[in-house]
Amino acid sequence: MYQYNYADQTLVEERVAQFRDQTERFLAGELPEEQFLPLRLQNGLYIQRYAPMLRIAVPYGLLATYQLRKLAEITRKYDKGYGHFTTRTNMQLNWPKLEEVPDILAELASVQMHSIQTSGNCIRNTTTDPYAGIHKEEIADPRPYCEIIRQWSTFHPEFAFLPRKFKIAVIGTANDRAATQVHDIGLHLKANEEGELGFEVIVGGGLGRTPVIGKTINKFLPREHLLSYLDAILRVYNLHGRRDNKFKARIKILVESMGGPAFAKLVDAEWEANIKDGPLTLTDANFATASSFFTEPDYLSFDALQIQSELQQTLDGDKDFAAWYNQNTVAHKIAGYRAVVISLKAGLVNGSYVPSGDISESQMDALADLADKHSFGELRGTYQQNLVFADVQTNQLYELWQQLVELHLARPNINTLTDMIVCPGWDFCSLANATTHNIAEQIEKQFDDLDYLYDLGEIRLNMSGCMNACAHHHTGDIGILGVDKKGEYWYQISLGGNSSNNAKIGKILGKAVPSDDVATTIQKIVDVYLEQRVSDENEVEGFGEVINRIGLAPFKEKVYG
Amino acid sequence: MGNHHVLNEQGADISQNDSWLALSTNELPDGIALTHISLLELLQKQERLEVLLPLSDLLDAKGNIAGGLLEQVRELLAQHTSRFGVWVTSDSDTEVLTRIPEFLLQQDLIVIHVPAFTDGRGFSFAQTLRQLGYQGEIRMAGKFGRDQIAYLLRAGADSFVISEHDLQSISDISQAFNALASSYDGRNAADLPMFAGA
Repeated sequence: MYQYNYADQTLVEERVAQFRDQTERFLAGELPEEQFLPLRLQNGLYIQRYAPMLRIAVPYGLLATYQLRKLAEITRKYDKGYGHFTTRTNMQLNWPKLEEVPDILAELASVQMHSIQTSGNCIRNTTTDPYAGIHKEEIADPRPYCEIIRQWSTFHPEFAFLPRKFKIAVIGTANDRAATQVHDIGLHLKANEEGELGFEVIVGGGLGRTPVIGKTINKFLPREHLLSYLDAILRVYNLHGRRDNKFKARIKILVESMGGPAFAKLVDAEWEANIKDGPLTLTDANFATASSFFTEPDYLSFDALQIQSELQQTLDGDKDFAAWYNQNTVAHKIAGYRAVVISLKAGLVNGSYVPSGDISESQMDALADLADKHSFGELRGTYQQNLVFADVQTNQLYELWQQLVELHLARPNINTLTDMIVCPGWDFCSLANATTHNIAEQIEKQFDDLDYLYDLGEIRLNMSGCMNACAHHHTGDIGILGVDKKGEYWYQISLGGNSSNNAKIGKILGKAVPSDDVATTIQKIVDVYLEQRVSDENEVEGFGEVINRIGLAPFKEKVYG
Repeated sequence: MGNHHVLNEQGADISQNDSWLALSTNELPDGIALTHISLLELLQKQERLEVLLPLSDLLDAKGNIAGGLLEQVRELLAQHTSRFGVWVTSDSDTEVLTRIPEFLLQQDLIVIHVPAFTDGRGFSFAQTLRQLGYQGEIRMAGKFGRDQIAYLLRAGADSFVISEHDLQSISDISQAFNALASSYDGRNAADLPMFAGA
């Protein structure tokens, strides 16, 4: 992974000093609240219901074990002993003290981490595919490009006060696991007929109160133009994006209002007049340098057949291990290796619900040890709020699984209904209208039979506590949105959303249901799916396919009829 | 017009040596220049002055430079001015900011007025001027904050108009000019940490 050089290290240290100064001036009454607000946000610091919230950047989801140990230490020392992973692969701390945040930032800087631009109206952390570099269908590893974008966007002097926040995602396979079409910019690595690399550029996706799927404005941007073209998009947005209304300030509104082709024309005009082929142009040497940080680890070579037969024996001997293997491990391009998804959706542990994406300090320390032993000392965060060990030897899976079981990190529910994306909700977020954790707990209790969940197959359930849609409820097969009706929490359900290649915004089923009825309503929806799906011996019709075929009417009938 | 100061790119107060005058108009925001002068007064002056004109008054309804107007103004004022500059505000001049006309690049001074702390259009305007090769002075005025000065410097600004009140409420303004000293100007890929090879 990328290692800071002297310049990077100096930058994050200068940032710590700058923020320490700003915090002191704010506390002394010298820096006005309206100026401190955007400044603290650009350091990931929110003021929430009970305490500040600090969002720590995990650039494109990549974490080294020494960094995870530092996060564990920080949560012990400055917080309540746990952290929360988000859909954009960052970690949030819910209980830091404002005056201690500069010290936390200094601790982070000591392990090449920071909270720079994790919030505010600026370019946020770039995200990517959790299987970057290990997927056999990959056109090219997206991580070097993510790192180039990270460095370009960090303290870019022109784009720190945009009309609104700005999120970029990059992928290197045809299959989209990073929700790129609902990002402000989605970049898809492609190769042209000559084998040269470039990007399909998708602009103007986003969720929130106006969900929009992005539009392709450039089918193949040769990779050397990556930065100058991004610069042109950002400049057009910075100058033309609306600033009169916060809810209409995202780039999606600008692109929608003029249409994709007209927006593309503006970008091209800006690009060609001012920056194309200028000093922002990247060279092959630049790409070689960036790629040198993401080389393959020292994989051992295995006899594929032998390793497969050994694995089969272990699988046959332990049903629970087999379930976990099927559900929580992913094919790797190197024979003898698998990627392992660590479920941060433990559900009920000893009777109490563990919120999606939450991880305790002792789990972090233990995972760091396991990643050192089994996955070359690195981990990755995923869009679904889980973690990944990318490079685990197949013949070590059983041992790893046993350890993960002890840690409550081996729940074999990846991609099932209980692999829910859930925002922190009213309990932690001052924007939220409704609670989410109690509803997730209710759903966990309703759907506690794993075999039943496996029979249902892949169903994405996303739940947000308000229309800001941090948990991407619009793109869940089943989406749940918490709303406040005269002081009571109600939940609006939508069906048929998708964040992958067939990105789609779900349709609202009908009027919101009261909080006590959410899980039973989900049960009715699932019942309709089971009644209606068509299966043969090879294939089972998926949830989204059924919605596409029969529409919402049968679901409405069952729920409201 | 309140009392203001001009600081150079090192944060030194250069108000004593600054003789730019803003031409009075109804729309002239506070703090575009240290002093202002009406057209009548200017035409009566014997000495030649350094005069700032409002860009928006030189534009037609479509946001283009009104044909011949600039020349007419220059001709009218030629006997009374030694140097010209223009001031712009991102509030009303967005069209110009997005298509920078050639004549702007010939001005000795361009004052960019920032209407609100969170309005970042001025950053793009300064950056684009520099990318187009503008060599003259870029001066920031209006509601930018102390903590934006370092970003503005890197985007290409040279000087800053700050009110007496703000200057007095800031204990050590020179620090603002050195914040994030190692960060780059956003214009050259070779300056990214991994390519600069520091």
